[in-house]
Amino acid sequence: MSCHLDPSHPLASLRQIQTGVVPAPQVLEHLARCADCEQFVAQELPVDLDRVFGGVLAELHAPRTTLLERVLDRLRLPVWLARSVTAAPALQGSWLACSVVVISLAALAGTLHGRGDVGASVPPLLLLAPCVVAAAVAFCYGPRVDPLFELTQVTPASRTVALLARMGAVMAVNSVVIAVASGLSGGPGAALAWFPSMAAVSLLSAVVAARTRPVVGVGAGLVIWVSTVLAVSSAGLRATSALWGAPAQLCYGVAALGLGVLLVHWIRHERVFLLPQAGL
Amino acid sequence: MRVVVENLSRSFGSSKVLRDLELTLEAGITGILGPNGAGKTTLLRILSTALAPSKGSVKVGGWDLSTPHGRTEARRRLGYLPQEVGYYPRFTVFQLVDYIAVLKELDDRADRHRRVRAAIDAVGLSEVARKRIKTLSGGMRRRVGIAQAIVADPELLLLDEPTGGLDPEQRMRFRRLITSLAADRTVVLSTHLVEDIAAVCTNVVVLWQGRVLFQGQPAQLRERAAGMVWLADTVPESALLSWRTEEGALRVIGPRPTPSAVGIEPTLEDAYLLVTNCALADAQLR
Repeated sequence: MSCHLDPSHPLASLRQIQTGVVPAPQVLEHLARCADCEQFVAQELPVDLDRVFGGVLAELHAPRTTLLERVLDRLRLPVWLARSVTAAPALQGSWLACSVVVISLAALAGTLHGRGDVGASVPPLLLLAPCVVAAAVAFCYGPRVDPLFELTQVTPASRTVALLARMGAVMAVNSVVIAVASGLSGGPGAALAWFPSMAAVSLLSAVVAARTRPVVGVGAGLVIWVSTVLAVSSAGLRATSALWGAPAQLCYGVAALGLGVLLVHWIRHERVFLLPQAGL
Repeated sequence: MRVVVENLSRSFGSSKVLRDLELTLEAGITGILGPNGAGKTTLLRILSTALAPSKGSVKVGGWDLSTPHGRTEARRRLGYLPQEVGYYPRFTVFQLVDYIAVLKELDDRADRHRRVRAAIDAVGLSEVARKRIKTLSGGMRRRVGIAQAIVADPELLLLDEPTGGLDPEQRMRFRRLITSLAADRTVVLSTHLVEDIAAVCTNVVVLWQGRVLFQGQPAQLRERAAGMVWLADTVPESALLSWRTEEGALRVIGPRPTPSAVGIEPTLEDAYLLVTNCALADAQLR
């Protein structure tokens, strides 16, 4: 058989190879399948065709990188870390869309409802922001969240760095959404007052999720945060100053730092994110 | 690469899955054989560093898995196929294998992509390299798992139930692939299929209720059942196990059932059944 002699055959483009023009992908695809043509080209071209075509086909099969991956690449993150971050379940489109909807609704409710004395009531956005981010952080890493978790755990890639990068990316993306919503609604959240409380509640959720399950982590964060808000409200304090004043912010910061250190310590000693018993 | 397991135990709550295991695995293919719940997956997870032991030590190529440095060095040298390979719905075959290759420190993009393609070729999935994994059959997904395990050319290859879901043709292909890979590395595969062990393994470990019942060559395991396998007309109470063969004869494992019973050459499966049933009988007596 000598199919390359057919002038209508894709391999007619061989002349392009010889004249230095980049060959069409279909020619390369064909060469990978047709031993006759591959042999013919090997005789015509003094190069290691297996290597060349293998490489070109691999490039053809290689997936396009996502927008987030390209951004992380620009930030000079190592390839493995960029891939790990973009694979986080809480950074997938559907999850982010849900977060945007919830935050937007909270901001809208605050705008419609908060025309009066905002100091006395809790703005919905400030109440909800920590919960939304806590859920995203609890669902960004771990054996019950990541389908490839077991495989990634047996690679030399650092678990600590991967966890911190995913948590950082999740918090950063959600912070942008919350900041935009706050800015547009013009409420008291515009001054980034929500950030320390969000960090503390998120890290609390992450720590509990790491030792138990993501749902338990989210629940713990939610219960603690809502209890705090209710306690402040029932004590008759002005919510904005009691929950987001300087002393409260300091407490949130210290709590976030402590919880972060604890989480890193646990993961470095592989005491968290343990695989469940096989078959269960 | 040598794997040395000493006094290894693993518990989940009050459930003891592995009990004081002592094992040495050398280059070649070692099959870990055992019934469901014997502890095969837990053992492989510990060898792969995915799980820490409750007690005891594991050394992979001299690296102690109880230290962070030892674990990292071992991870650089091993490939692992878990019992169930998860996947991200948006991932194609190429993307998944490439993702693991990236995590395995294959940093050069062109070289990595060539290796990814070679691994996908080796398991016969070139035609579907660009397809999303969620569209593939269970057997094909299993082969994607094997491809990611071999992509970084590991010195130690750990395969948990590698032939589960593969059709007979693919099972043959897999056996050829594993045999060719085992020439210069250590391959450990866990299975409950005796024919897999008989086909490719140079060593076999029989695990039962978290304990090692046997470790040695398949021929040595077969020898355990010499003089214990019979074709008979009736089944006596002394028989450990018996079943009717396709030819209609009664195959009996145990002491000579009747004076007219004919002794036959034991298979690996006979020997495995004998060893595990003896252990079961001992446990019931205690």
